[in-house]
Amino acid sequence: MRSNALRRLMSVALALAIMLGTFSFAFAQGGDVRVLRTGRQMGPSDLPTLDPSQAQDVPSVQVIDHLFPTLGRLHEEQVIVEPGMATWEVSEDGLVYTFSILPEIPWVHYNMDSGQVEQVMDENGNPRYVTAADFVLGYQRTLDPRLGTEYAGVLAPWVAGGVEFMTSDPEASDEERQALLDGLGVVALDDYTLQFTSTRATPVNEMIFSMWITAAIPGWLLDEAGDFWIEPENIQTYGPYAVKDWVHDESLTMIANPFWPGTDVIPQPTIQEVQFMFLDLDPQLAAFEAGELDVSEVPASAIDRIHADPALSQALHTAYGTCTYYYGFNRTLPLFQDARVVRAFSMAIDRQAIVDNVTRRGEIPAGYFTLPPLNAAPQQADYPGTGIGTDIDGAKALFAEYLAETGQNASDITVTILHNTSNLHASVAQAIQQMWTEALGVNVQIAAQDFGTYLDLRREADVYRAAWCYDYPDANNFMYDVFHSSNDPDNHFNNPEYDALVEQAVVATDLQERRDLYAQAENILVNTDASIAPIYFYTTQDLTQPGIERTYSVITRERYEKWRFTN
Amino acid sequence: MGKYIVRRLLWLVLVLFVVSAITFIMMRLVPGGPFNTERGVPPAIIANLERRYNLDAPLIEQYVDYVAGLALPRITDSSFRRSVAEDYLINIPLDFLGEGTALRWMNFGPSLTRRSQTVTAIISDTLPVSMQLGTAALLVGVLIGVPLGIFAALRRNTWGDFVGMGVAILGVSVPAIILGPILQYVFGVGLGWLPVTGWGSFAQVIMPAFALGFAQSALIARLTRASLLQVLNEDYIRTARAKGLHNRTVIIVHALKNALIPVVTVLGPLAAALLTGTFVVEIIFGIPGLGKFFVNSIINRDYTIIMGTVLLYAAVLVFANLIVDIVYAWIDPRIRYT
Repeated sequence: MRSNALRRLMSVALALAIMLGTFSFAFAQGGDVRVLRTGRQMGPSDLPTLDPSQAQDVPSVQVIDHLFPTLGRLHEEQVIVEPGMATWEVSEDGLVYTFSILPEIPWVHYNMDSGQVEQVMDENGNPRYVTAADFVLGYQRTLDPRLGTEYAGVLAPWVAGGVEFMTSDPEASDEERQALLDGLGVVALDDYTLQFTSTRATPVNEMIFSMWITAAIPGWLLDEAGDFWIEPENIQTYGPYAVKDWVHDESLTMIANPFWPGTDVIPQPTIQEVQFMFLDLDPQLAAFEAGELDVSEVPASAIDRIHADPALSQALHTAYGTCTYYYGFNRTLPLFQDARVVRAFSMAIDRQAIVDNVTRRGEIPAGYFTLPPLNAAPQQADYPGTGIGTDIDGAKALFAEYLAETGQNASDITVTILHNTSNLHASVAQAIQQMWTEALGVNVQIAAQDFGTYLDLRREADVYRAAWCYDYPDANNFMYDVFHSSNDPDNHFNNPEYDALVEQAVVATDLQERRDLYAQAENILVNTDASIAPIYFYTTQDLTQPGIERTYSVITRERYEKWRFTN
Repeated sequence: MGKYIVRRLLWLVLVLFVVSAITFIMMRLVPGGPFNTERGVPPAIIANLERRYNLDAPLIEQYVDYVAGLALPRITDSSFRRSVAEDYLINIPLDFLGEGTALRWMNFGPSLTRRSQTVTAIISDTLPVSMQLGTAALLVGVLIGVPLGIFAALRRNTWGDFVGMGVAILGVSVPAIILGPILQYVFGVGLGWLPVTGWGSFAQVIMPAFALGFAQSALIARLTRASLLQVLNEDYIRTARAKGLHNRTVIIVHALKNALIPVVTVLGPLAAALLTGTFVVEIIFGIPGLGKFFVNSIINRDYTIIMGTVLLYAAVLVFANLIVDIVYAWIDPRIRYT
């Protein structure tokens, strides 16, 4: 009996020991290298990709920016394009850009065995340098119908021959495919000279060749490793940082690339390792307070505590995000065919109350659609009397005028707000429901759907919650790319005068002229032919530990090569 | 017993087949798709993406392809190259048939939202993490729950019982989503004893295992107490006592073994749920487990991950219940399977 019990006890102990043994006890390796740990703009799950052609989300692009710099480099605080991997000259007609690429920038790979970033060699033992052909491949690949990338549609309209290639038959013969590639306006003239032919002469071209989807791609590695070329054991990069480690769903660590020569625009990093942690907002804050994170985002639930805490409030910084939150009104609905009604609904929204009491992340009430920090974005204050603002009495009067003219009663009118399921969107919708009911006397219902269903239902909804987050920081990406009638917006907005203004604005060369044109277009979209109610501009909020000298991006993505430890 | 196990395993195949068909139909009936975004991707590009992932084929063909890829083993020669489309969970080298020849089985397909990852790789990366966490949580549940239940039962209607059951009610009422952050702030931020987030070291297991296991320990304690109280009134316990056996022997050898049958019954599904990942605890502690995929794949309409995780869960559940049935026979000699 006794020995039986003993045997059982021992087997339990053995099982325990085996289980515990499966956990590695290794903790905090790396020795004296100080690692910057950041959770900002990463989210709680893994990066979808590190492939520049296939990336479409902020976390992926945040990392890609450091691994694969593009020809132009977007300044994260000033929103201007500076020379990145190249300098360039523009032809007189403004259509052809000739790039001189930085010579002898090597492709590199982090060797996990040696613990070093090493140059990539070709089959003859010579270093592989980033060439014009690698960039050409980048453009071709993003547009390639065989790959099928979400962002091909953003790039194609700007590159001569781009739309033709993107929309071609993926099963086209090799000859047909080659003809389309030959017709593409991206050509390597020699190893370090690239020619880019645009479809339009416009300052927006600079934004396009600064997008991650145009980065250089290592063709030989695609042949070798296929879809797995971006996995840490394979990936080859050339920017200021290289990939040291990517623990899927947990973290990605970048290590400074010693072969990056450093330029005025993209300096050599001083922080040797940056580790991106994939954490939700609350765990980020807890990890920040425990000293495990150097930079953290802020959950709305903690904002009062942070403001009240002297140390934390000191560490807090709020900057513009990438999106505008707005409500779209279905212009085919008889009620909203009259722009006065949309205007009244928009004026009845107390935006300040929403950002102060509902969203509480330092968001900025919006009277225009376009985010203010963008290139060529008009500032509402510079154009008095345009745009939209909160005016409850004005809203009541305007709506009463409409009701009197059409002989309707407000209480007979019911509108439904559609939003995708989220606590935040639900709270905003409830606040607006109350505002509309109180100010206008209409009945307001709320319908929440999960994201996929919501997207399918948007075009039929009375009113839908939406956000537009830009692809490239120019007003054109808001004004033309969303609401030009050729893009068939979900609210069925179609205004020839608006179309003409935004068409004119994209090709205008003078910055002030562009702003003026966009201000007029904004006034049509949100006021005279009101079709949306802009509600607020998104912000990003960071907490930073003391002893870090950093930049504060207004394009959401940071440039960690410019940060440094000061203690 | 052997026959019984074989029969149950054959049932498993049928269960998985039915689960796969129902899941496949349901997920494709839901509106939306993996490539829909708010930006509105041009139809030509959606078509290209669907073509790349074979989503443009007739639904029945997609289903047959999926099941065939998963269920049918394949023998490949040296020209086989692992790709996003073809990545097998089980790879057995058969070099005696020729260099590079291998038997490959179970291709779960590519993730539709993570472009360089396959569902096979996601499962083999994250399942071990979830199993470690689940095992640790289960241990916390059993090691706290069973003794607490025994303690409460033996001191029925005394302060000890009330305290024990009070702890149990607290455990049931405080979900991991509350307990997790409290532990983080007390033991991580406040006392600095344990790391707040991350995975890989023993110290990083303690808080998540406790956050996850505490509610289970409460459940197990209540079950153990109720069951033990019932057993203690049985005739054979009186007989054991009449024989003059030591009280401890009566409790441990005679009463507890029988009292544990209901506990073992709940441990089956509980183990399946804990071992295959737990969304909330993984999010709170930043743990790279499978639970996040369960939830996110549905939101993202990542069809292949939905299929993979649901099938895995079904398989683990069936296995866990099979083990429970085998344990029954061990605990209670009257139970026999034929």
